[in-house]
Amino acid sequence: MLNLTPKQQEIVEYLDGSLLVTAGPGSGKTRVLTQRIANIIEKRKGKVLALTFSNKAAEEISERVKEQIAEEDFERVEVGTIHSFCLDVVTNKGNQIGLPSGLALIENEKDKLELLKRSCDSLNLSLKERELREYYLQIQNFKQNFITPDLARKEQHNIDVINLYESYNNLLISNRVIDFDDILFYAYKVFVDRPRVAKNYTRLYRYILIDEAQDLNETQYKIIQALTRDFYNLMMVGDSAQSIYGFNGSDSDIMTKKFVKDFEPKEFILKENFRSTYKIIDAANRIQPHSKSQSVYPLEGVLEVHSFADEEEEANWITSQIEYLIENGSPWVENEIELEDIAIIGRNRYLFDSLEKCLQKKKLSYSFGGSNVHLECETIEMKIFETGLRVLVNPHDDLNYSKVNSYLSRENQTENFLQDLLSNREINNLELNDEIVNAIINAWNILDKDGSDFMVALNEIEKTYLSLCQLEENFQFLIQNDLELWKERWSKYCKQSVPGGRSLPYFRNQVSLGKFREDNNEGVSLLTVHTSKGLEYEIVFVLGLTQGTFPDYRAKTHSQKIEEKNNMFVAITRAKRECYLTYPLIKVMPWGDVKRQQPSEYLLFID
Amino acid sequence: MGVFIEELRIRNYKCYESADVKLQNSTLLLGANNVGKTSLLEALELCFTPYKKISEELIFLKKDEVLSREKSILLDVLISPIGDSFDDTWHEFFGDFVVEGESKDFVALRTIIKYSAAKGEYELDRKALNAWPESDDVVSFTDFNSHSVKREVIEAIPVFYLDAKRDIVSEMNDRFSYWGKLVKDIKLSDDDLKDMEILLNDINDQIIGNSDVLKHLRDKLNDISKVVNSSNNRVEINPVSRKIKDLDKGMEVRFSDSHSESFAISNQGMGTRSWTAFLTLSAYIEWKIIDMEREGRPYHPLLLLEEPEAHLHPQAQRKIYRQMQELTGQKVISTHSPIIAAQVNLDEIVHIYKKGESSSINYINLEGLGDTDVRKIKEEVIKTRGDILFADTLILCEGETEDQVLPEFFKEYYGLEPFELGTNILGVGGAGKYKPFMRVAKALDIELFIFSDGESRIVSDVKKHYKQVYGDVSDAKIADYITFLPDHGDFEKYLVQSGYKNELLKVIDEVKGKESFIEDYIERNNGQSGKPQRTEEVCPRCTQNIFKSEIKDYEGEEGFNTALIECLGSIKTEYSSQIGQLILQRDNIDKIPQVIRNFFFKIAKIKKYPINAAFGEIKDGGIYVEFDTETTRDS
Repeated sequence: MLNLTPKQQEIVEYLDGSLLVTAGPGSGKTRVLTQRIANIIEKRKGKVLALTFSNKAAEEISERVKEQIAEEDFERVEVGTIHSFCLDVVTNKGNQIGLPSGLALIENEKDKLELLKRSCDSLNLSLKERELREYYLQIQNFKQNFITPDLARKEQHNIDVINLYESYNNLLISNRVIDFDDILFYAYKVFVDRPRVAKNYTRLYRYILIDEAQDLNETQYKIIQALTRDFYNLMMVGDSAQSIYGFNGSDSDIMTKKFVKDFEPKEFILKENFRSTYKIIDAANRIQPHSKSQSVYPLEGVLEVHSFADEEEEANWITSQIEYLIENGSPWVENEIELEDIAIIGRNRYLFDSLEKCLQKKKLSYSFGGSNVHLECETIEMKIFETGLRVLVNPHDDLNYSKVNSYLSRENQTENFLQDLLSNREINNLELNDEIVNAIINAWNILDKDGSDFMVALNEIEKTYLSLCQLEENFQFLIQNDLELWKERWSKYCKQSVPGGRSLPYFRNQVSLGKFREDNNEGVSLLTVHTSKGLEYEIVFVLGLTQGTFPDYRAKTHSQKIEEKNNMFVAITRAKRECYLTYPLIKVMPWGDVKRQQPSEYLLFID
Repeated sequence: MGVFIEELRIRNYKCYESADVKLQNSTLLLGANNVGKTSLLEALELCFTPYKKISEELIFLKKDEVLSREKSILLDVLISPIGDSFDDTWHEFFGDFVVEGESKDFVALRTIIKYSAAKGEYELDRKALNAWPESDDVVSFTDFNSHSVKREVIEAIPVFYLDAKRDIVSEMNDRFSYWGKLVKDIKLSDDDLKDMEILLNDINDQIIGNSDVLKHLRDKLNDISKVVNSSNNRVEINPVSRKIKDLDKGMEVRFSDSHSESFAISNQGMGTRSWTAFLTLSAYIEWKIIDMEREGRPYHPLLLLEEPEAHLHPQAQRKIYRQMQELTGQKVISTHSPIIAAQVNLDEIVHIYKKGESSSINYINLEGLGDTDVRKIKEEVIKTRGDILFADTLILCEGETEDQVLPEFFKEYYGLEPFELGTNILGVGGAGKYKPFMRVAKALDIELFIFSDGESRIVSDVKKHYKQVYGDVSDAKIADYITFLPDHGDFEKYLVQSGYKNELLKVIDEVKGKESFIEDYIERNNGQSGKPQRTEEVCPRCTQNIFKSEIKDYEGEEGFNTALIECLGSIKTEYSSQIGQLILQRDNIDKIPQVIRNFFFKIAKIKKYPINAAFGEIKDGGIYVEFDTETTRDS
């Protein structure tokens, strides 16, 4: 094992019973977590389940555990997000609470609204677009709090909402789809209604670890409780100072209070920061005095605050500073500095406009890392392909079947959607390329016979479009990229599975969960605080540090203000060696007004 | 605590369109030739063999059906824990595949053979099921586990297959046989290996050195170096192998007893060779188990044993069955041996038969039977009459005489031996003892006919039992399947009354070696008191029938008949074996007594048997016409 501090070593050696580790920034949290997993594998029987909040964290933990244990032991370790674990539970155990098989995940907001509209029609309920969205938010809220329509009815909410909620749920199930919130709800229901399932999971996974536990929300904790009845080998790792998902209902009290009360865990605190230089840690501690992050590096590093006349000047300076660092390096960084070692963090994603222009002008490459946006195909043709895939994996999917037909401007059949999809070659939409659509139908037929022939199906489409000579250049560019997107996803999936063990429905659901999102990490990373979570860079710029932007003007309550401070704490502690905090004195609003800016109140702590 | 395979469901495999087979720790597959016993074993083997060559030949097809690419084979197996849930090792091993059933956990695996358009051939796929569906829903069931079935899961249930055509001699020449796998690496230590190879070299040199013939041969062969023109070439002759690893090619097994020289196994009879192959398999299983235990992985051996009785004499058959029972693992045994069948529990029997175009499965249903009934079936049917389990049709009769004469009349009536028509004729050894046979016949779909005595008590008992077993069937149907002798009598009484006295007297004289024996008998015994006999009178106090010794009265024709029947009773065995032949010597239709003709005619009609032209004819359209005495005279 790598050298661990005595405290870290103690955690790694602490195998049985509940455990709470409060781990400050840069305190080697992931290392402790992965080494403890390796240690359990070596010394104990049974499997280990590690739950994270992002696919990226799951991948990292998974890879680092792999390095530390023998290959044949790796199947004893299961690492995944809470959602992917729950989806697995719902897929495989859903029949035990009466759910149909082959459920597909619906992640598109428009699709959900479409189903809601249909539910309204069936209830003869006419709602305005705005009302519909409002109702939807309420339904989402019910789901997130595990309130069933029956339960909601008892509590006497708006009867229309409840009826809509019930009919929407039924429509989802009859289409054999579930939405993102259902995943957690149904998994919870499985564990509660069928305690033997929960028991069997904890017989299988005798050690459960939860990463970033400060981000747990009430419902997620309920699931963990339902899963771990009479089970104590539960470890939570997190840092309440880094809790920034309050808007998602997360609450670091769950980790620091509820978990402590319910499980009486052995508690450890890791304060030493191995990531950042002295000045950066000092600044972070001024923001969060109770975090008591301790510096271990003898290095001083850089922490500077700069103000600029406006956003353009701010962007110019950041860009030239980047150029300078790339050219000359930094006394605090041993190696040459690459663009990939640099991140620019903003409170929200609209702060990067001037900067993007500057970077483009200087031909510096950049990317938006950790993007949470679901990537969609650009061409209608490939959108049709993708929509058809959903019908292939779920022949009851009325919604997507209708979508294909509306793309192709043709009528819906009342039954046997799949058959129609595979054989109907009627194309009434003049904007579409007939040959490519026909190739797509061929591709569906290939996939219908064997879902693991995904590459063959894509090649069928590619072959056709390559053979067509008079295609518009822009279209060619887009469809090529669309095809690459799917190829990339499939090859990622192939790496994670074995031949013979691949299935189209599973692949489709994993895509919906964002498992194969291609991370384009080239160049400088432009990040929001939330997407920067868990990442680290040699050099970090935090820009736009003005009152109202950071802290955000919407942070009003006490807990919102604490969380906003956590955001600042997270932003600064992403930096390993140098950290620059910048702000403009005036800001040009999108509608043209020029507004004077006050420096962020946080800067007062630091200067 | 381990696991066992509780059920196999077959869809569209070889001769099975659809069959569900419940398996026990040891299961016996019974059935005629070519009904699908081997196919069932192969289906099971396929479920637990990681890779296997497959082809479209394996797919069940109806008559004239053209194979469509859509048609696929499904083989589902239900793996259950011993107890309510799997032990820790198995639980961890099966992982996500464990399904929480109503009362206990289980794992369900599906093997699919389907056409792959991309590969242009049939391929094998495996899935774990998230539930064990109703039998009717198997084909449409697609709730598969999202995790793929890894090779290890299949390998944890290793299959050992004992072929009906086994022969240790050919196994010894096959590297992939159980023998071959065992002796491929005999696991000597490196030091031992070196020492022994030196010894082997020595022995080779000595043999060559002492043999002028071999020396001469070697020198001649060495002339080859002149041809290939290289001084370094040298030809060597090895009378025995110089390398330990090559020893497996020349191994020998010899048998000897205290009186004789030992014989190589290849000179032994097939019985010994077959048994030796079985023992080799046992050795291999035990060896593998040690291996698997060392690796710490869970395992559940599945032993598929085809006709273990092949070439063995009855005592050896009993013994090999016991040896099979001692093997570790779950067994499925196919057999044609009544001796082996006689040794198993009733619930271990799976009966396979053809039903239309597909093979089907059934069991001896013990539900609702008391211990006594179960014991009766076991003792009176399986143990002593195991052969009926292999029958297509069963004719039951009461006693020794019918048991002897019916087969003789059968052959005359149908022109074929009973076994040629898959029929067994069986005396149950006493009135009313049909019931356990009815149960077995009903359970195994064996068509059952009864030729019974006609005493009113027996008639009502037999009908009652028949209804208990077959449900409430009409009297007309009962009459098709059960014939009662007329006038409340037994077979002897019938013969006496139906004009066969001459034949009967002839037999008595022949057996006793005396002419007119019956006259002497009457003279000697008339007026004497006989043994106490049961009467219809009932004692008012104990409500039991009163037994009385009656004075024998052989006067008149009736008295003569009584004497005759008594006489026959005293020589039953000898008389039974002769009377049939004697009656058959008649040259008219009565060479088979009418009641038997009528009985056989009903069987023929139901079973579509051919009839000897003397007794009836089958007209176009399969209409059966029975000749009576009159018609015969006319023609």
